[in-house]
Amino acid sequence: MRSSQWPFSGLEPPEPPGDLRERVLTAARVARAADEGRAPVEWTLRLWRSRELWLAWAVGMVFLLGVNAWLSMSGVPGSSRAEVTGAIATTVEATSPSWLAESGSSWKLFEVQRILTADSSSLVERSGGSDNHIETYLALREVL
Amino acid sequence: MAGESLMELELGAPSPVDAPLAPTLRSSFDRLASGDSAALEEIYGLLSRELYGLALWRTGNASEAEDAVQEVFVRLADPNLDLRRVRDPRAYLLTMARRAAVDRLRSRPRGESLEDRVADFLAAPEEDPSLVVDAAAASKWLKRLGEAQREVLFLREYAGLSFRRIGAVTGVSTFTAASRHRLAIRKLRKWMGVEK
Repeated sequence: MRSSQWPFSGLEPPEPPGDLRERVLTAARVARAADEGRAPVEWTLRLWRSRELWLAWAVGMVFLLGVNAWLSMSGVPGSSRAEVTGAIATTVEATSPSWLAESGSSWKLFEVQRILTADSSSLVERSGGSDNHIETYLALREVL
Repeated sequence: MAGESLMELELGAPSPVDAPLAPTLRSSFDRLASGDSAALEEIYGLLSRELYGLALWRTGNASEAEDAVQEVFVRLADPNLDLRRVRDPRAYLLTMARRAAVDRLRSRPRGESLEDRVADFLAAPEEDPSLVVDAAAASKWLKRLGEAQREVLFLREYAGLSFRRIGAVTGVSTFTAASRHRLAIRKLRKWMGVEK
């Protein structure tokens, strides 16, 4: 077992101390008993190792990616950026400070706020810088 | 030593020490994986000496070596470990012991002097007490070696591992393991006056 060049023939590494055996085995048994009591870990491991669950996850991911690709390519009506921005401008055109003052409908205010938050800069841009539209926008900001 | 070809690396060759040990250890691993805690005792009986020796030669401290062995068995007792997938149980346990020993070294306070705590790396056999002096001198020379070279020496000379497996256990290439062994032997022989 020793190489021919080994200079310490006849000497051996010391044995582990006699009491180490009991200490080590007791610690190991205690750790094992504690680990066996941890049901959630076992349950999690079963999930982690379950081939069926991994397969279901993979199928789900492929499905979602497929749907995403299909929607991107087919172009659902009303989903393009130009159409959305146009809708915002139309909404604002139909909205005036006087209408806002008369209107007490909170859901309408909420809707306008949502639209403004979504794309307020493009809204001003699309208004062509007309005073009317900018005023409307500023009035809405004050109200909201 | 220089004449010893690097091709004498026993690439992939099983160690003669493994021959009687491997089936028993494999069986103990499988039993432990099936939930039989008694297998821990068998594994301790089969490998505690090697694990303790490796940890001792790596840390240079008996107390830390004992802690390292304990850590190995506490980890081994984890029922969530998938021991059936371990291909080489002996190398697996030696790797665990080495890592535990390295963790002990890293957790030492900076600047701590180990002069008073260094253990004897070698001991004289009971049947030949005349070697006690030799053992003390050998331990002193081994202490002068670096930890990395010392652990390779232990794995090669006392665990009988091939350099390929030593590389796997210590996380270095086969040739680095062989080179460390060669340099360590050369240093020892030079210090002893056997070789210039």
